[in-house]
Amino acid sequence: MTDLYMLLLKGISLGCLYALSAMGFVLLFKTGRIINLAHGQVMAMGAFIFLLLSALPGNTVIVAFLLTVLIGFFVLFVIERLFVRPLAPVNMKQGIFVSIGILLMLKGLMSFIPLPPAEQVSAGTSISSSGIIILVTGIFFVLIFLILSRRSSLGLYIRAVSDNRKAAISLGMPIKRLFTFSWAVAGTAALISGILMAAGSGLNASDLGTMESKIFPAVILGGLGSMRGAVLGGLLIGVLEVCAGGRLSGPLGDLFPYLILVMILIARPNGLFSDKIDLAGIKE
Amino acid sequence: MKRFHFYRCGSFKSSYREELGLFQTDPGRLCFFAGLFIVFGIIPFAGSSAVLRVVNMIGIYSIAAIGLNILTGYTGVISLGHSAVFGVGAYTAVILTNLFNAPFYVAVPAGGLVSAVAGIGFGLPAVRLMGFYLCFATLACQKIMEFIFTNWKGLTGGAAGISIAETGFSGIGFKSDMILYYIIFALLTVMALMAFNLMRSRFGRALCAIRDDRRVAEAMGIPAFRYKLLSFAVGSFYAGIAGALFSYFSLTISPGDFNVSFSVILIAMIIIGGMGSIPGSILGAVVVVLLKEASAFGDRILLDMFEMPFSVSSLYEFAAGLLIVMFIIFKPKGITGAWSDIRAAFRSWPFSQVFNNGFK
Repeated sequence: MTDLYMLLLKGISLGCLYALSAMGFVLLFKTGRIINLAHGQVMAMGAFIFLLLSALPGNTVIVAFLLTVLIGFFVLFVIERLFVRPLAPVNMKQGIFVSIGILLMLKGLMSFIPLPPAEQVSAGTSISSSGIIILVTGIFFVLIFLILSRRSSLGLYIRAVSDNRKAAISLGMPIKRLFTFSWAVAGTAALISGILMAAGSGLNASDLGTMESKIFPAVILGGLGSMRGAVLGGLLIGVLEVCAGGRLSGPLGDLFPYLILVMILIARPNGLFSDKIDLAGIKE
Repeated sequence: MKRFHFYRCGSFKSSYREELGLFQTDPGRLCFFAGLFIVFGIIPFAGSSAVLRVVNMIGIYSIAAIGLNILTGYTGVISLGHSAVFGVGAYTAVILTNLFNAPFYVAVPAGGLVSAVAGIGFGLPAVRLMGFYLCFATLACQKIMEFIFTNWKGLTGGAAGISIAETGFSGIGFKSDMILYYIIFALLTVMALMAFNLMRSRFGRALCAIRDDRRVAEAMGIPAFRYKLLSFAVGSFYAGIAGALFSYFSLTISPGDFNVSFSVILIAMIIIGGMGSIPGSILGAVVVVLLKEASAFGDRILLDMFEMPFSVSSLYEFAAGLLIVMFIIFKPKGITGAWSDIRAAFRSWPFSQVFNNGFK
């Protein structure tokens, strides 16, 4: 029985991290109707930089964390300036292609720098003390994100923009600044979730290669355009993945989220919290 | 003496058949036949064996890119699962050769057909959906196929991959690159012409209608579901044939060859070359393969001169991604789009600006 509890805890821990990334994805979608396929790769990049930095001698965890956020933020800034800005008014399909391009660029950068062979943490079914820290930190960030999106004025603006973009513009909301802000927040959320994932469970290089699409089942399950959906979707996918895999990244655990994705797309493509989405503005 | 039309200074067509013609001008026909002559007559004898390998790769990727162009350029389906279908073709060819001693002229079409079936399988959950949901569905199917490739060890040899047996080459003995070259490019010519003809037929027009506006197409009586599924089938058939040829080219295949990165690189090929254009797929394949070779070359140079542990060849992925983004931002129609813009500018000189900007 304790095995099941352990699995559940691990699942919730992983799920929180997925939820964090998924909320970032949903935020981007709400603000700019942008499907950022590179979002998972940003998460992988956070994990990668963190692993790289912590392998260098003389780096404590906190320092590596902060440095990773800094470097990742810089990369995101460059991407936003160079690639996202010029495309702001363009249609969704070209936006998807650009995000695919950014995905490939980040992947290429990551395989360019060789990762030092990391000591693989034994992925047993017990929770170590660091695992508890990851769980708590994950829940903390998720809650902050949720509260910000519900209570703060910025969250209100973002919800307004996602409801009706033209009305928001005519009411004088600073759309461009909002979009830059949401890009920053979403990217940082993905980075942090990647770092926590790397810190908690000892990923190896092949995990990094498959990590980039793990969040999409969570996003679709929850429903695009709903923060709560992203949280719920992330938690569900995390728990299901760990339970299916037996440990953090068994092969079956890798497969399961995608099976769920296909089933969701067949049965209820709008996701769980689908009434929040305004699909009228989306051209097929 | 036949009247040659060298440039379009008016419309001299007197039948629908001429209107639909493959080449609008005679230099076009001349270039085509000259190109065929160069491809079949000159390159195999002029190039060294390394050059032949590169050109073989270009041929294989072109066929796959044409398939993806049918899916994405003509039907508007952004498919991230194309490399999985490519892999299905490759594995089918290898398995048929290893288990049943099938000769290549059975294995390659079989690879195409099995891939077409797999493509329909990919399409079934996907085509009901709109734009980006469809993209996610193809991504999910790609990952599921990757899982099957890696874990169905009895059939596919697991993560280590399998190699093609000697019997695949029997009767023709084409372990040499040259004979493989002829097979690849004969197939490429036939299939490119087939695709071009398909795309200017009723089927192709239906696909373009679906891409441009699905609801209007349905209102005009084009069943989008059926045509999208068919387009998945045709595109995957091309990918499967390319995959089967790939397994003959690279004698060992493994699941790592058919990942999401490769899917994105195929998309890069059609974006660079030009979506919605068959010669564009071939051009895009040329650019990407040359990029790959250039980065491998740079790798060797760096290793020789500076002995760096960095592998420059993975910068090829970075460069391909960068090219995707650059092309979408500046030239969304790809190289073929840029080329037809240049031709239009020449044709409408001295009023080039007007026609380039579309009567703004």
